[in-house]
Amino acid sequence: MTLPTTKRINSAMLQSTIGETVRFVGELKGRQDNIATFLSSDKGTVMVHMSDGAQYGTKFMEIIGTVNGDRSINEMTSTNFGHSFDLETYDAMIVKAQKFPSVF
Amino acid sequence: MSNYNRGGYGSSQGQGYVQDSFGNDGAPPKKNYSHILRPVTIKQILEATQTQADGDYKIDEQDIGQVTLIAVIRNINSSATQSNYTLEDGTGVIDVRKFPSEHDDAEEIDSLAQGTYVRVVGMVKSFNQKQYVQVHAIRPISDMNEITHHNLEVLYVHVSATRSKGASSSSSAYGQYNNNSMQMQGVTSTDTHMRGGFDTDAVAQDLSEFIRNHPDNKNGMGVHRQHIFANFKHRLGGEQKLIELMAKLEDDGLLYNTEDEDHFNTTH
Repeated sequence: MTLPTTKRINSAMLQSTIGETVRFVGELKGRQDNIATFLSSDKGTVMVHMSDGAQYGTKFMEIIGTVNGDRSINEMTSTNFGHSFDLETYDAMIVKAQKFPSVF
Repeated sequence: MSNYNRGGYGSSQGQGYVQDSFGNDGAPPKKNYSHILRPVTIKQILEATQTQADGDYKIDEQDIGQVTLIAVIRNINSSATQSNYTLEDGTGVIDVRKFPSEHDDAEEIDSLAQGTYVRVVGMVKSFNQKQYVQVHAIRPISDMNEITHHNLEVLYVHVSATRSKGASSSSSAYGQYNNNSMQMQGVTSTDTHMRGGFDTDAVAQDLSEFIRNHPDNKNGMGVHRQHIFANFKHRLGGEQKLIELMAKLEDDGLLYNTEDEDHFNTTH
């Protein structure tokens, strides 16, 4: 079974990951048709093109998908992240994690 | 710990460690790592090195006993005698194997569906040169903050294990790792000390001691950089060198800002 490795990113890291598959956690802010708007852990706005039949069950969601040229994400799959998730600490973690490519 | 560092390395090699005196009968001291539980990413397991075929796996040059990881179940393959779960955590993919046990909570096992984040505790093993984890415990995680926590813990242990000096084990559950890495890297760091113009390790050590004991820091609010600069810039030959050292300590997780960017506290 081959699965892509996915870096955990915030909105600032989208630019450097265009074309890659990433893992993004955000707070769901709104939805129009199949485009969902998220608040990212670094307080940016991230647009997600939802996959067919995607269901977002909680306020916080983890999206795995590919980054488009316009820094939106094409969802492949998503996971409910609950209604209370500490985005601030999460952001500190992914920023630190970036500096340790031998671990993450 | 600070006494250990400076005293131990300063004195002649071999006297610093009590353990050495037990090695004199020719038999190497027996190491038992099986009681250690190390938080890891899948990538760390996949890149773990084996010193010999069928030997113990090592991460950051240290034998690993039990590991714990958090990942998503992507595939399940169950038979009467064994369940195989393919897990993925963004850093890699690994199979974990679980033997059914009479202590299993049927409801919990049923909740291990595809797409679920789980916490696994187990031993790293290999079959046909492919690593897998033999599961002792596997359970779904209910609070996703556990993912943040786990990854930070992975980093903490990795940094403690790879950093040559300046580690604190007094309040750390992973003290063994710190000590081990010091033993292995002791010789090299002594060499560096002799050659280097400024002893940055010793300055780093004194700097955290200074912050820890500073009267301004009694409520954990940190110490203003002006006090730190006044006391330490001469030791490194200038303010710029000190700023660089502090930035490095921050990256290593040894120093952090408190109420604003001018106040610093130490983590050890």
